[in-house]
This record gives sequence, structure tokens and C-alpha cells, in this order.
Amino acid sequence: MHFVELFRKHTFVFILGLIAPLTVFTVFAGYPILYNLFLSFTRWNGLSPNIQPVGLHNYIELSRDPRFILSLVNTLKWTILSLLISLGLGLLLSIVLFLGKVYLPSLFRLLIFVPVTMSLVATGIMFSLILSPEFGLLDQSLRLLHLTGLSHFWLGDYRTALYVLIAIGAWGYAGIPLMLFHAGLSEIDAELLDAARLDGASDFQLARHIILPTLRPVFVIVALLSVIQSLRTFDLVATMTQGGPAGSTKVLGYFMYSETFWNNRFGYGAAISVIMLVLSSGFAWTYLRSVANNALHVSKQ
Amino acid sequence: MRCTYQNNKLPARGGRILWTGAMIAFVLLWSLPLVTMVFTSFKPDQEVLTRPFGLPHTWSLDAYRYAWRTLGYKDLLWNSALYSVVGTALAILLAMVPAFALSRFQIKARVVIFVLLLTPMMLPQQTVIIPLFNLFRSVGLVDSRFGLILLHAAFGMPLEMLVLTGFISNIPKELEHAARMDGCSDAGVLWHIVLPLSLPAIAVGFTLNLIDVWKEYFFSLIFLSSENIMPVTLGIIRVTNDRYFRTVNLPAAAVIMAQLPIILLFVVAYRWITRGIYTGSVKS
Repeated sequence: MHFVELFRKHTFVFILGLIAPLTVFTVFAGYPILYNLFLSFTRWNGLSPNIQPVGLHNYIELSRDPRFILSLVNTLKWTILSLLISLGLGLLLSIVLFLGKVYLPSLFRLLIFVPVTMSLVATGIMFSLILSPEFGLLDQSLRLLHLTGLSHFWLGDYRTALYVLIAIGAWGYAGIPLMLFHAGLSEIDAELLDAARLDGASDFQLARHIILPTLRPVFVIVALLSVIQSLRTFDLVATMTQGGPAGSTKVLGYFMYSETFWNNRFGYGAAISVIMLVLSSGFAWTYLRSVANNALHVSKQ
Repeated sequence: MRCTYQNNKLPARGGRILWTGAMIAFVLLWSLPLVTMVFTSFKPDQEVLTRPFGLPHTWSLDAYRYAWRTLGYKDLLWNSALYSVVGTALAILLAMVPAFALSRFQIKARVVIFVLLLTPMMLPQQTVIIPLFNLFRSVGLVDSRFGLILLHAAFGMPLEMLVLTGFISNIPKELEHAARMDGCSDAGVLWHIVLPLSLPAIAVGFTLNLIDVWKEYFFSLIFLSSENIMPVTLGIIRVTNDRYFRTVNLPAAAVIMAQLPIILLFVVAYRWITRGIYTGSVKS
């Protein structure tokens, strides 16, 4: 059908169903993305009417800014480690809970999922309480067990802080891959598994030859989602470490925020966020195309 | 109907008990931080220091009372509820007709249009924050309840569209044709056929987005500055001040109070949500 014909025959749906959402998109995403791109080529303090064009200056400065390089490296570390943890943990737990080896599997899934419903701010405060030196619960328990030698200021040590945050992030996220893998697994034909078992296939063989191939599309989705989430990490860092100690937990999402809203360098902040957009756009586009096709029942070519 | 694979031959009961034991151990460890928080929050000040672990010796609501009063929890929870309920409701309202249009109109560009409309869901918020902040400042919507609700509606719409479109695509076209025979217009079909049949999907979309908005931090942080309109994610940050942080029970109570409503909602809606996450991301 052509747009003109659609408009004539289905005016109401055309306006509220296409024009309206495209307007919302333009105001809240399309225009901001373009204006942000423009700002990345300027110097601006966020308030004055004087927006000064500086060409590629911000990007050149970024490439020489050790804080940016550090944020980029930390973000990549975060992305890769989270991906491995969420894929691994989610896959392992979902298969164990699926193969009928455990009583009450759905109760376990519920309990593992609970952290996903928590805001990362609350999660961050909670783990700060547990990990804080001296009166934190972890240190107290070590003292009680006469293991004070193991006591460590996890968030205060630049060598450990990032990894602690990544682990906490994984705790608050693992429920999602678990649920996605679980849903993918329940598509598997039960009779096929029974038949394979009767033929003497081991659990490992079942996983290798039936379960993993079925899960391939879910795998891609889980990976894409995890990467996109990691690339825009902000809440945990803002709550727990503010990028410290010594910049060791600085990630792009937080660096952009502090440069823009604390140092009032809106042009520079815009440039950082453009880099974030470039990094995540490929993953986001692939992800969205696949979910859009599924929702519209368009078969993939 | 989806059926979970039930294995009735292997492993034997002994194996299942063993695996269940291992799983219980894992889940206990997994829940330990949260459980410890609950216990800590009920302990009086001294006990937190003398007996940091296990069940409280004397159960005390002091920390809750204190946190409720000093942090203004009544307002915080009310604001969070307002933003998540109204924002989500608006998002669904905005998403309903587009979902119908995209699942029915056979236009060539519909996948592209759909992907475009879905992008705000996956966009790093940092990419749009400066222009949006500017825009909102120029129309007086910074530090305003209405402004934040608008943001949540606009950024919640894609998720709702995704859930609804997948669901509406599955509604048999015959029902629609029959209604059209009876003289229903598009609006009639939407109102009498699609809307009533979509209620389960609406419930899923509502719950999922409600949780998202309740968890949201970045937009609130940038756009709000008055304490009386802050949601709980913003208000709770104040407990990280040393003043509160010295007694562990108070921030613990604050964390529990911030999350309790949403955890309860989640447990009640568990079944829909888990289906909905899948619908929203893998297939319909």
C-alpha cells in the first residue's frame, strides 16, 4: 500500500499510528542525536548563548586525553567481562534448571531474578555497606573468623575496584540472560530429548547437539543486550566510586557526565557521547532489527 | 501452550536431591547480600556493631522510622509511584495505535520505521541528554514532575510498542474482518477487538516498564533538583553521607524500603514478566 492511499483510507490510524510516534521519535531521539553531533564540534559552557565552533578540536583532544583512553579501556573491560559472565552464568543455570535435575526450578529462577528488579543505586548502596572497611559486613565477618589478613579495601584499591563493580553489575543482571535462555529452552521439543536419552545420550551430548544449537538465536540476543547495557554503564559507578580511586572505575558513561555537568564542558561531553553512540550503534541496530522482524513476523532472508 | 521438559527417567531421585542441594547453596549465597540487609535493617544501633550477623536479637523498627522521617520516604515513594505509573500509562497510550498500524499495514518501509521507533530503547541516554536538557530548559520543563513524566513516556513507548506489536500480530485477522463486515471503522476495530484482546500484553508491558522507571536514575539526576519531587533512586543517595553511613542499619532500611514495593510487584507478576521479557526481546 502507498502512503497516500493509507492516509486516505485510514486517516485516524495513519495519524496516531505513524505520524504521532515518528514525531515523538524526532523530538526525543532524532533531533537530540543530530544536535548532540553538532555540539561535539563546538565549545560551550552550557549556559551562555555563545556556542563556539571548534571543528574537530574536541575529538583531537579526546584522542590525547589519558582520562578518555582510560575510560574507554575500562568500558571495554566492563563490556567483555560482563558478556562472559552473563552468557556463562545464564547458560549454565538455565540448563541445570531445565534438565529436570532440580526440584522447584521456577522458584530458583525467581530468586536469582530478584536482583534484576533492584535499582542499581540501591544495589550500589547495599554493596558499599557490605564492602566498606572497618564496619562493613565483610570486614566484620572476617574479623569474627580471625581472618583479618584477608580483609581488603576492595573499592579503595585501584587494582580491584573495577572488577568488584563488574561483579556487582553481573549480580544485578544475570537474571535476564537466565530468563531469556530459559524461554529459548522451553521451545525444545520434549520428545526429541526423551528419544535422545533413550538412545543413551549423556547430558553433555544433549547440551552439545540439541540444546546449544537451539539456543543460537537467543545467544545472539543475550550477547547484544549485554554489550549495549555495558557500554552505557553509569549508575553503579556514580553511586559507589564516582570513577575513583585514581580513575580506575571511570567509564565512558560517567566520564561524559562529569565532564559535561561538573566541568561545564558541554561540547567535550557531547563528543564523548558521540563516541558512545558510535560504539553501540552497530549492536543496537542488529538487536533492534532482529526483535522488530520477530514482532512483525517477517522472516529473515 | 509452552511445556517445560520434564524428565521422568533420569536422573534418579538421589541425583535430583544432590543437584537441588547444590542449587540451594548457590541461591543462598546469591541472596546473602539482600538477606543480610534485611536482617541488619531490623537491628537496633548497638546490635549492628556487636552482632553483625544472623537474625536480630531484638527486632527494632527504629532504623525504618528514622529513615522514613529524615529522608522523607513518604514523598520519595509517592514520587516514584507517580512517575512509574503515569509515565508507563502514557507510554502504553502512545504505543497502542502504532502497534496496531505496524502489525496491520503492509507498507514496505515498516521494518525500518519500526526499528527507528524502537531506537530510544537502546540509545545510551548520554547521547541525548544535553540537547534534551536544553530543550526542556527552554520550555520550563526542567525540575518539573511533568517534564520527567514526559521523558519516561517517550522512552517507555518503544518497549510497549515492541510487546504490543508482537502480540497484536498474533490476533487472528478473521476477527477484524468480521468486525469490519459489521461496519466497524479502524477506531472501532481497535476499541472493540484489539484493545480487549491485548489486555494480557498491556499487563506485561505495564509491569516491565514500571520496574524500569522505578529503577531509572540518570534522567532524574540530570533533570530534577528540588527535593520534594525526587524519586526514591535520587533521594536514597543521601544515605551515602557519612552522617547516615556510620550506623549500617539506617541505610539498610532505606535500601529495603526503596525496593520492597517493586520486589513485591515482581513476585506477584513473575509469570507474566518472564514471558514478557522474552516477547520483548527474542520473539513473539
